[in-house]
Amino acid sequence: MFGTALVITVIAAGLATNLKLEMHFKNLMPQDHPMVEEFNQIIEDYSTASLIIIAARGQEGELKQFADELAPKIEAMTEYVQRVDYKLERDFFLQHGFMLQKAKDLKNSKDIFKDLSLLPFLGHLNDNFEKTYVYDGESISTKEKENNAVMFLDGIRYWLKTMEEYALNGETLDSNVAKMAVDRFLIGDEYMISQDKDMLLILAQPTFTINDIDIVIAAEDSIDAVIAEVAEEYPSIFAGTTGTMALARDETVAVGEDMYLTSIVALLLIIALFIISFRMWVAPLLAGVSLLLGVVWTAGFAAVTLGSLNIMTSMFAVILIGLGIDFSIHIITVYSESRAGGHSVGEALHFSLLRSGKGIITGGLTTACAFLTLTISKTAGMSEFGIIAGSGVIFCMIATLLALPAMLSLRDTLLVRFRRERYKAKSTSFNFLGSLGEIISRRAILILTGATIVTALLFYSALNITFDYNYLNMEPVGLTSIKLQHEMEQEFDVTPDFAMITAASVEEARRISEAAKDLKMIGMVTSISEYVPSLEQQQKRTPHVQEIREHLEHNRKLTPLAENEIGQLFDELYRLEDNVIELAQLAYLGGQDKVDEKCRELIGDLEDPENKTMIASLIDRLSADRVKTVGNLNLLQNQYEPYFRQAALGMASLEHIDVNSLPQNILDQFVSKDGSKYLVTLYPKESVWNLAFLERFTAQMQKLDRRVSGMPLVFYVLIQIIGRDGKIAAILTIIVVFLLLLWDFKKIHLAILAMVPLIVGAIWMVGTMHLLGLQLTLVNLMGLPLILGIGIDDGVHILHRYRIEGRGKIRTVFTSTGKAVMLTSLTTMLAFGSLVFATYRGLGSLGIALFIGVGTCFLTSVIILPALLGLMEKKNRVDTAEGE
Amino acid sequence: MLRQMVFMVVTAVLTAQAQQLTPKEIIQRIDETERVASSEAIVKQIITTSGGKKRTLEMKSFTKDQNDKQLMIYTNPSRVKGDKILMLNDGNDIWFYTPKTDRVRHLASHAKRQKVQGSDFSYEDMSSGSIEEDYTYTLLGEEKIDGTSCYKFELIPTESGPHYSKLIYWGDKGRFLTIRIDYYEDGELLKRLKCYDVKKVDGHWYQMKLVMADLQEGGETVMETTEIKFDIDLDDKIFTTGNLKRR
Repeated sequence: MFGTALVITVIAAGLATNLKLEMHFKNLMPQDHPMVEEFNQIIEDYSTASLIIIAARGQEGELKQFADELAPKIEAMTEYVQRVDYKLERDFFLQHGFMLQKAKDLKNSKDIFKDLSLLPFLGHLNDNFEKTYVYDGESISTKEKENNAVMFLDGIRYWLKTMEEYALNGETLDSNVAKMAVDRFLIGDEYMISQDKDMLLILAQPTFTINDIDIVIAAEDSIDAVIAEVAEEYPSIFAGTTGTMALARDETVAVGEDMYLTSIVALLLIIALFIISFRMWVAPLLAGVSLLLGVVWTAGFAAVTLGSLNIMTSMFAVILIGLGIDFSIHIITVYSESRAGGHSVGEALHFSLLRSGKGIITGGLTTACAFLTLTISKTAGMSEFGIIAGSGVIFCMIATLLALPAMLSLRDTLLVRFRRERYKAKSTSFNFLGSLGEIISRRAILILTGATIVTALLFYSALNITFDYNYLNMEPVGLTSIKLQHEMEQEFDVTPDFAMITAASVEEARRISEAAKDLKMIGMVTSISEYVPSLEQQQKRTPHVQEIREHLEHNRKLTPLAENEIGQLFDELYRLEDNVIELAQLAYLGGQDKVDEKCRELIGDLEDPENKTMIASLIDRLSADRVKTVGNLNLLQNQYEPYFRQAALGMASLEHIDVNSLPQNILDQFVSKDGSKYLVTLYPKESVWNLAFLERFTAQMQKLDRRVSGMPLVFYVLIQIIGRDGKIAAILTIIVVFLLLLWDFKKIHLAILAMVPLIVGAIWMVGTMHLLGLQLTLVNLMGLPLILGIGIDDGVHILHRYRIEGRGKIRTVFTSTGKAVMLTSLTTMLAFGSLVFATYRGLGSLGIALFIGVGTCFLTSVIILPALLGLMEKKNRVDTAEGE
Repeated sequence: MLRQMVFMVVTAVLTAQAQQLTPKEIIQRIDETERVASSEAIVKQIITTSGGKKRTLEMKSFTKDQNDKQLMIYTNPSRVKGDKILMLNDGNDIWFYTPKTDRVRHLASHAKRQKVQGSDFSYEDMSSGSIEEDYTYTLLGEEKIDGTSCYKFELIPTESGPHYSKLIYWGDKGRFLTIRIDYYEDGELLKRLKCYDVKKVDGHWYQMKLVMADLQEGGETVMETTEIKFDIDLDDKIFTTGNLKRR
């Protein structure tokens, strides 16, 4: 029999090596849910939907150098990376820049190009500023407008900085400095850099999708190694990968390591407890062997039936170690008692299977059935857990019943033979449990009153427990990917947890994109429509672009700045300063932080009496030596003007833009692989891991388009399905457990009696969790239906033994079975408690919840059950006396 | 005790009177209560910035001609001290002045629908136009809001009214004062105004705290009046652009 078990184990172990880990919460969802189907379709259709994000923090100059050095190295990793983006599509903007601007903005800004000489340029720049930002109460009212204002102010800041550089030592500068100022003014910063220039992003388009988790891990590791190598030369730069891909790698690696660590810790703790309680060395190891057989069989079964493990099923080994050892404890408890009582090996085995066998089978089947009810769940995570845990309990039970008696018999026979003396079996009794049971049964009313009050208080506490919806709080502490993600959210006002909609046409993409931009919860929208204005928009813009063209072509005169014009130049600079101050004040009153901060780069802190604005400093410098200033500013003018005119003329192309005009890398970002669909990506402005925000975000996105998908939305739907599944599973578990107890005990009052400690234990569990400041999470929520399956065992074993021993034997029942129940509870608690060592905090949250739950179910079994049994016995005595 | 009894009798009389009023009379009474000739108040406004921070702005507010003219002078924090916003024509014309530049800027015209700086209130929410003139109304019944018995009206804006498609309005039965407004656009509930802390000042009932919640995208703006005076003599000159530069 043992040989058969070993053969099965070898086969199962071979199969188990094919088990994969798929740790993303998407894998918990029902895969036929329309949102998941859409999500998977988008992942397959658009390589940009699974971007690898590299984020770096440091100083502007170094960051740009770092990016220039790193990007080609990442792009060279052709096994993993198709393309790298870290700069703007400069050529496309230099060709069509003005046609991409709104007609209203073109109308306000076209005069700037009338005369590119410095003085008139500044005058027209001020006119444009006032028309766009000061006279328009809604100029910065949306996120897009706010971003445009920041870009405009950044261009001005760079222009003024360049003027100062030229005023100081223009003769030493080459024309590239002036050209840079023109570029910043016309198209902005070409790097993907934050507003305050201390964080930079590089986006790598992978050759694989997030669904290929093995490649995700290999690619992320390789890219991180290259980043570390380049970063060695830039010690002040902190860089790494972030976003969904990096997180998928981090959580898979963490959970993979956790699985082994927690299983080993659980096994060692349990065996240690076993050895201490039974004062035996070999028997606990034998129990461990039979348990291991059950776990390996389950892993093989999971590999065949499911193929992979997810967040919820990944801890199956720990759960089975905690639960499966119970079967051995019950057998060894009675076996060692019988052996100590002088019975032979055969007799002892007979007694142990007779006294604990039925309890083991009922308890095991009840727990297994409770788990198997989870298979009705829509959530893949829960139903797969039901399959693995349900079958696992049965496998462990069969393995224990098959292997343990054979191993115990072999052990005792060998001990007798090798010690050449009569082997004396030891038994340790837990008399205190028997005494406690007896005392409680005699003071039943008092104890039950106290228990009712405690239950009422803990029920109230349970009602107040809250849910932690932040998925990131389940991830390991100190992950670089999460740290960078938080910083990215702060710096760029967008999160990588975006929503995606596929549009059938550019026009549909435009409709969605325009509607989304009006939503204040949206930080950024990317859509092909940003690069392809509608025909109507292009028609409206054409006259303005035409006018800019004419200004640039017909007025090529460059008027040198005269010395007597320097006052006018200062006036324009003061006017510019006033404009920036007014915009800053309006931004402050309106709460537009980014604009306010950008303005402050130009005007400083106006509350500080020592403050000197950038413009005031510039004027001081320009005033110092007026002759030199005029000369150097004319040099600046001569150096920027030809490039400015050429670049602006290029941007003033009247060529019609359509999808075919777009360069391939823009098409790759937005057009599906078969060219039939267009991706619109909607980045929320704040973290989606706040339920109130996530709820509104999901509602708003679904209002934009029913087909919307994306991680945050999948997560929101998952929370709802899990909540619903959890309730249904809990109710079904209670019904199934009750029916099984009824079948087992054949008496309704005994079935109800066995259920009482379980229900009260579950209330105490949630109440205690709240008292300890714990919250429910996506992972530990499953602890509730689980505890209904696990917690029932204590009551079942006690009642079975009570029926065998008969009335008046409460002390005997609790001394012997009480010991087994206490040990099984402790072993289960140790197993679940070992999850606290998991770096993936989601597992820890489940471990703590189940640790508390098993503990409370044990307490209710040894406190409430003897009281109820005492009450029953008292009633029976009264009935008997009355009958006599 | 005596005061309580008098209050109860007065409330009972008022309620009895109110029960006999027609919807038109109720609306007229509300218009009478809310459309004050002039006022001067100290107001605290709490806004949420685009970066998610809370910011409290304090201001002195002057209104005249049933809110047709409004002047706000910011007093705190020091960053905005002396900044002024002048709204004329029921919020259609807006001027801005800051002593930091000493310039008056015409911010916008036809701006009724625009949001007041940083808040969830639009200029038209702030201007207390006449319900009778700006809406067609239907009395839907009576309801208690936070313990206050209210008339519940459906208000459909007329052409001269605000841009919303519909408002559900709750007015205090005893004091003829707004308690709550739900703003709808295309059948969807956009915003909810709730009024708290009703006090009687200078013979006028007034809601000292207004909370406007954006129900679509979240966020809320709180306007708290700490002091208010009604029916004061305010010179028309106060509400001119020329006056903005005066300290």
